[in-house]
Amino acid sequence: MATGVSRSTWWIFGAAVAITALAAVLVALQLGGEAGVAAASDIHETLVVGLAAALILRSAWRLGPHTSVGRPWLLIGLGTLSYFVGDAIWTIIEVGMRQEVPYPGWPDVFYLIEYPLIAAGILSAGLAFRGLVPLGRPTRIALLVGGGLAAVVHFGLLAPFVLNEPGISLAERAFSSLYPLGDVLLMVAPAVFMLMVMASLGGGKLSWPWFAVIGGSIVVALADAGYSWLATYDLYQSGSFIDYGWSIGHAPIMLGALIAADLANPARSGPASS
Amino acid sequence: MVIADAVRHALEPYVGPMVADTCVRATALKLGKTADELGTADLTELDSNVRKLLGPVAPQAAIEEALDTLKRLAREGAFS
Repeated sequence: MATGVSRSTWWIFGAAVAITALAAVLVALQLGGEAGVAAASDIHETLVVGLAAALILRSAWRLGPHTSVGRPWLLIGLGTLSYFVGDAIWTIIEVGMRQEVPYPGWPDVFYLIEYPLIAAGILSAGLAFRGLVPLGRPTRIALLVGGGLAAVVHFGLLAPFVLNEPGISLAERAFSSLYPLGDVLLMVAPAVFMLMVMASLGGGKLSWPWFAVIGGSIVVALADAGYSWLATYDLYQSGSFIDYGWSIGHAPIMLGALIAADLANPARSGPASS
Repeated sequence: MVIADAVRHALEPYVGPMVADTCVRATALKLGKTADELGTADLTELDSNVRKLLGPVAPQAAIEEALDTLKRLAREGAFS
């Protein structure tokens, strides 16, 4: 039986990974000094996330942006597009204008907009499976994991290090709180919900795109959490290993959208029955 | 070939064996039959149930492909 995933899908995913690997090599070699490292790091991330946004939105369009199958990809695509806008602003300031990017700044606003859109996309996709699998258990587990991690973030990170830190502004405090809370409540919890829904489904091609999205969302959440922590202590700089988390995280989300569009093409999916 | 097996076989690549089986059983239950008692006369009901269950999650073209295969097998007299 054919897998249903086109060769071009794997080529595009491979290209996104290759761009990230190339950037990692350039950063490791410190080519062009500090400016070169910032350029390699910023430009690769903008390229990969921009490619992901364009292709996710194309998949949404092909699946029908107003249908229950295409709508989740539209939301995820818009979230990724918002992240791309944040990245583009960041790159213009740091690489184009050679200035330090303020924290918090406009890029952070666009980065944060991605959270609710991705969450809405994943949750709407999961809810669409309600006719096939019971959603009670996935909902309870996701709430438990999200609530538990939010408590860990609050008591382990925000209360001792961010909220009571005298040297940081109110805006910094707010953004440094929104990043990790958004990660656990709007990225990890929906990903866990979807993971449980897919586990209940017990296999099949329809679960493949969502396993890719779940993996990508968790990587993005981990990168965000790391950035928030580093930015709070002024330790973040472009070229940090965290940067690869965002491009490597968005690549599987893009892969999921490409697979979903491939499955809508039965010629590629192969015969349903022999 | 029993029609229930053909439906399971057509749906399994998309939704896995468990949900494919649930889809067949749900249709049979609705008709007051067991899965193995489903026949070609029940194809319309199976078609409608598959569309209802998979419609929100599967691309329309993929559903049509699975159902077309079933209809083709029925026309060829493949079901016992």
